[in-house]
Amino acid sequence: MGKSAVVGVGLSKFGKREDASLRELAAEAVYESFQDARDIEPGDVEAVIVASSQPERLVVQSHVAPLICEYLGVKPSKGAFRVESACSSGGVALRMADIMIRSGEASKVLVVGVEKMTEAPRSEVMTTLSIVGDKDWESIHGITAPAGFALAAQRHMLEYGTKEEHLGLVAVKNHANAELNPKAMFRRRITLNEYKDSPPIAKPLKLLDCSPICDGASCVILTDAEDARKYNDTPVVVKSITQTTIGNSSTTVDDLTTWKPLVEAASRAYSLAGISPKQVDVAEVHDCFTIAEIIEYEDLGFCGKGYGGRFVEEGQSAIGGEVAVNTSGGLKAKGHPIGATGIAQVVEITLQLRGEAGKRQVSGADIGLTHNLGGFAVNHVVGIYGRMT
Amino acid sequence: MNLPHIMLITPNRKSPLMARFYENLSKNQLTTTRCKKCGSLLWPPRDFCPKCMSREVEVTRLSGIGEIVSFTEIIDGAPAGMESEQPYLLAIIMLEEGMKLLARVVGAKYDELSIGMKVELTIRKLHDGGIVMAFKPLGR
Repeated sequence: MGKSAVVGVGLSKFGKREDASLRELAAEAVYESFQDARDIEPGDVEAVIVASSQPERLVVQSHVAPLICEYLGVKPSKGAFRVESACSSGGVALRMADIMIRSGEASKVLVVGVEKMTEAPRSEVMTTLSIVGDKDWESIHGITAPAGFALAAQRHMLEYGTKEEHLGLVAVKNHANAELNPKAMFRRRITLNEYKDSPPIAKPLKLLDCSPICDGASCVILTDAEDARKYNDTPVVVKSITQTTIGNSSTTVDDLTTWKPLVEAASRAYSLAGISPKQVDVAEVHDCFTIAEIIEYEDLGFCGKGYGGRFVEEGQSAIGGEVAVNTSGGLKAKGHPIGATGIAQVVEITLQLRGEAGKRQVSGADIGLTHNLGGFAVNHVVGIYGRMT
Repeated sequence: MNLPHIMLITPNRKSPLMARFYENLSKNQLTTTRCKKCGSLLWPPRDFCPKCMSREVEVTRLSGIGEIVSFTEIIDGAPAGMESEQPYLLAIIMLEEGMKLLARVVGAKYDELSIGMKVELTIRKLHDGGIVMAFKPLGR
């Protein structure tokens, strides 16, 4: 079977976007991706896949894939559909597009991620995020997204001696990267003291451990790798995308500090791509909360189990370190518009592999990795990307 | 802001399976189902066995005692209808029978909780007036 390749990428400005509706946000990212590619227009696209987690509750709109097609003036001959997989919706949408291309069903697929989270009242948004968990058995007790990851942080601190400072250093690093990203929500550095002084949300996690409620959209044009050079001088090849799912509730992961479904997804992705974790130069990982990034360093094989805190402390995940992680600013500081996140990660990796990431460019970046997580670490998508040779 | 159109989070208590769970809970009993064919203990309650696909299950009572695997205190960001209950404690609890569940811990402060601490079943009122399970330090 062939491969798919990224020939165009686009990203809206992330943040509180009162100036754009859901469809306008999506179009902003789509427009940029067609500027980025060459000799391809929206009308050439055979299928459109939209990743959006909960537009019904957040903007009171369902059936958003056909809606966005209509706004773009696209009538895809192989259809349009939406993918919902909570925070991993974007990663799953890309995986579906890759499968459509590799199977021969379509040769040009538009993958769009969008979420508008700042229109609804705050308590509505909090309910919306809580019910990603199991409503009948967990949301009724008031679980929140930060609470789910606080439970993991508590154990990681006990088992491996991970400290508050380690969590803080993830936030400090990602904010420093976001300062260099014009599309990021928070283009400002923070200090470790600011982090320590930020208010508690779900103990031990504080406000500056958390990714923000945010509006944004992302877009990737994926084509058959054989034709990719027609549309871009430096196509980026999808070497592998894998996904694992184990259930839904916060008690499904046997071990709160080793996410086995992530270890499995990563090991399969490495093996399909024929690489080892040490070969990854740049990675966008799912830092919805700082503790997640620390566990992901370990489960993706960037460092040994329990060493995630030290890995960030030693600067190994900074630009210029062993593997540059979340050069975009990550979910923490670029922003986390749910459905847009998994696709935004691929936008950043594509820019890095092409050498177009500006001030945040990782020198000599050949291999990039994305990790997109859904729910309470129950759903994982890992992608590996490389420049076309 | 708590607008009237916001639907509050409430559990299903009407299906026969859920109705039985809540009826037993009202008597301070934590119950689930067990497969009559292969003996598997199921949690949460199911009307079939995922291990052997049998539909012959029976209701069985659990001790309601377990220990804390991890815990947190929610200070901010609670779902609609629960904001006024903040701060509240949530824990993953490993029951004596070997299953894990998530619930509130009541009758204790954050600083009094620890991983490995023993807790037992209690009941608390949900915002809709119905009951839900909760846990409290054992013997308190």
